[in-house]
Amino acid sequence: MDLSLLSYVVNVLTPANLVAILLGTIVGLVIGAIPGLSPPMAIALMIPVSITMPPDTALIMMMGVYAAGIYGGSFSAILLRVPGTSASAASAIEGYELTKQGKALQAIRISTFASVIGGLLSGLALLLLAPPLAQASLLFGPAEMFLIALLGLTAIASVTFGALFRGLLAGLVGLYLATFGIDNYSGYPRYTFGYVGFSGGIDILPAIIGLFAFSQGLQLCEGPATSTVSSNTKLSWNILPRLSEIRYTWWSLVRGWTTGLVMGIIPAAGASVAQWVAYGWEMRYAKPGDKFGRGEIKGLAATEGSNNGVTGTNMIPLFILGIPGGISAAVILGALMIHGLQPGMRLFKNNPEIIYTIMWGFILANVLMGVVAAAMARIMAYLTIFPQGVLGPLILVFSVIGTYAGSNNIHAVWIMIGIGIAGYYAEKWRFSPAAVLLGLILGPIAENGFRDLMVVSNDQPVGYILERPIALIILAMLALVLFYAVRPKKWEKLEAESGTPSTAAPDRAQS
Amino acid sequence: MPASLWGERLAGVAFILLAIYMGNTARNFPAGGSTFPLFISALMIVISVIMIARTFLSPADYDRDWRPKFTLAALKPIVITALIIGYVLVIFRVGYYASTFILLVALPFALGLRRPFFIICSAVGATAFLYALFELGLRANMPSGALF
Repeated sequence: MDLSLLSYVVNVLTPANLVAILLGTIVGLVIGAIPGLSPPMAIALMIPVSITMPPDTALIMMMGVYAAGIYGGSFSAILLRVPGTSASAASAIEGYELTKQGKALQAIRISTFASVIGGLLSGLALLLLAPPLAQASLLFGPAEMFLIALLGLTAIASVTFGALFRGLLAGLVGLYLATFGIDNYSGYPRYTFGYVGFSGGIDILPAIIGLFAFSQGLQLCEGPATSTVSSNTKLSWNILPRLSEIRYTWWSLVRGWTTGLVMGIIPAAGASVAQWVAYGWEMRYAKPGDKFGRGEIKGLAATEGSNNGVTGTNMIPLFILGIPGGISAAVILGALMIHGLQPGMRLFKNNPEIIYTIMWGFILANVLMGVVAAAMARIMAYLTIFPQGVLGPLILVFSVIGTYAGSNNIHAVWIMIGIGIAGYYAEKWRFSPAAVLLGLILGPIAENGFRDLMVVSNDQPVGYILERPIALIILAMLALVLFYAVRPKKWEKLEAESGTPSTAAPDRAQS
Repeated sequence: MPASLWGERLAGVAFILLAIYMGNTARNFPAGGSTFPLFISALMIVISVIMIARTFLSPADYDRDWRPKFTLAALKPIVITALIIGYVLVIFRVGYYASTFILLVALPFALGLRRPFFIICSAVGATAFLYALFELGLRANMPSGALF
């Protein structure tokens, strides 16, 4: 380790920077926790506020919003099954099931631990490994990007809970939605159906709010108005994770963190993809008695570890190459340039005091995130004992306002409502909304990779892929995952042998 | 809960029709813009056919009772969605905060909650929070109308 990196720690400890980190963390947690509001929106709205600040202070604040926003999304995912961000959609599956069993605080405890440590590890990875790892991501061409997208799509198999074919069809609908709007290659409007709102494509923001928030609001309104989301009316006040909980989830946490750290480096993969890869990986390691789909804390540990594990390493391709690893990173890239900083090796050479201060600030933001969350989690957890008749309308209102504030476009609100109704019935008829979202996120990566691959390979993609070692490694991983997806599930066989009942609850898996 | 036999078959047919429509529309996309949508359509048809075929190969795996059960409760989400659409339309005439407050009071009451003090307190709290966050905190321009 280059010891000179340590000298930049003191830059973070100025009053202005500390206040910026605290402010960014609180804003990130609040925005992330509110269904419908996303970290990119918060970061974007913070840019005008930060204009007069020094670049390192401004960027530290935004990195704090980003890290805390990703973590904050898990609050509403766990408590209401309404992911605050796309990065916490997978956490909603196990987290909400735990909440329904009255284990909301246990879920938040492990989520906080996984997120804080994941963020810290990711920050350290960013600090130590940025230059050498960025070199590796330079080797990712169209073939690798196409195969990475396909690898991400295999996660659909993990989120369908016994309705694999319906889930695959839902994933394909997501891929269709991803092709809506102006084609970047030809400028031709595809699938607009004469509606101006479709010409810009289906944005992820209204889609995720519709699929997860609006549909959940409808579900809550549908039920008895006086009943609560959680079966409990009293909550524990202990927010620190217990040693037994850490021990039980340890390897799930390690797998989640590893997935996050690695996926973060790959441009455009990001936390949204990493959480599903981590969840799929975790399910493949399931043992008899594990309650995946019915509130398995190990699944939550993996998804929460992975989405915050991404946050630091996601900045590696951004700082070195100017390639944003996700929507939030793209907004941070804009902020970086607004503050007169050009990404690239020159940033490290000419402004080391700024870039390394930002990195240390990000690490400190993760520590503060845990402290602030400890105070906020208690308040947020009380949402679960609110009557559904109040929570449902609140979520519907936040869905509308979150979409409008995030896009400043009324068409986005109509699209959100349309997707929300579709998501509500998709959930009812077991066409996984998570699969639709996966298709929508991975669609552009897959299509662009596919089209670029056809160009660079002169329409001979197979021969081209076979000549690229990294593509071959990803292909081997893809084959392995598909093999595991179609063969009888290991844990189901073990269960059958041991005589224990099936742990998957297909009809309630995501509700 | 197993899927219903005819529900699975009807879903398969519906997705085949969707794939044909989307594929047919995609044929006119220029500069290779049709390749990926056609690939999706082909895949959708294959998966739908497999889904339908499975209902004939192992019908015992499916619930034979496919009759739709219509109840008044099934209309609830549709009515609520219509209310939300009305709310979005009203926002620009009445103003965001006034219409939000009215919705947050009226909807819980319409859903059957009979705790007026709690409903009004939560509506006031939520509206104040939204105002503080968007107007004061984020300085976002929320729609305003005749009222607040």
